[in-house]
Amino acid sequence: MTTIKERLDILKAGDVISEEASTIAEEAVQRLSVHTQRPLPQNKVEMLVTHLASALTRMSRGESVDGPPEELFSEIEKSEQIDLANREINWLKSNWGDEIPKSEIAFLKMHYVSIFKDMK
Amino acid sequence: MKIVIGGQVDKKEVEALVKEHGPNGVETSIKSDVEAAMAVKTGQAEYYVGACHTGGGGALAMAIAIIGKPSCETVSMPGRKPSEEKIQQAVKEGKKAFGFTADHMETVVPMIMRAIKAL
Repeated sequence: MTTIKERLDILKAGDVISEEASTIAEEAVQRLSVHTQRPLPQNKVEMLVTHLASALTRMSRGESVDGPPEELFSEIEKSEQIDLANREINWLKSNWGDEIPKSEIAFLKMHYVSIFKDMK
Repeated sequence: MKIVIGGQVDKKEVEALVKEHGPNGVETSIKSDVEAAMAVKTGQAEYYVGACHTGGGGALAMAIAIIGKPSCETVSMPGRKPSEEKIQQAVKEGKKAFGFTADHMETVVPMIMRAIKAL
């Protein structure tokens, strides 16, 4: 099994993600560890960190994606974990130099809500 | 022929589709995205297929990093449906790894398998 750092190093070496995106993604995972005594859901954390680092790099390279379907997004907004997800996304917004598009925020909410559900 | 299932989600479902639509005698193996990409890089498998929910990199990010972008093709993303023509072209060009969003897998996997069988 690869650690989060090894995963980010492979992605950096392959020029899939930038150094800045890697740093923020690693810090984002460290923040999750601080909020719980329980083991993090490794598989979902790997998904988050890969997605987050790719998404931040995509933004810095001026690329964009469409957001998730509206029905799915509405369901996420109604979940019990949305406040926790928003707290992490607000941290990302403050620590990432540029604006994060709405479509990217929607996907990040999906990942965070999914992780916080497992951490309940 | 060996096809590895990488990506991040719905791996069993993707594997079942590869077995159903793949070439006669196709051998499949479910691996982590890192292990699956390494299997193609080292010649232990011919092709990599992988899905993620968001289409934002998880399906193919590791394959791009390990195998190299020229060998990889993102065949669907949110708001971008797969094109059989583009998939055929990618397979003909020798691309080895294919990433897609999980909600497209029932369309995408048969398209990729048809293109591989047509080589």
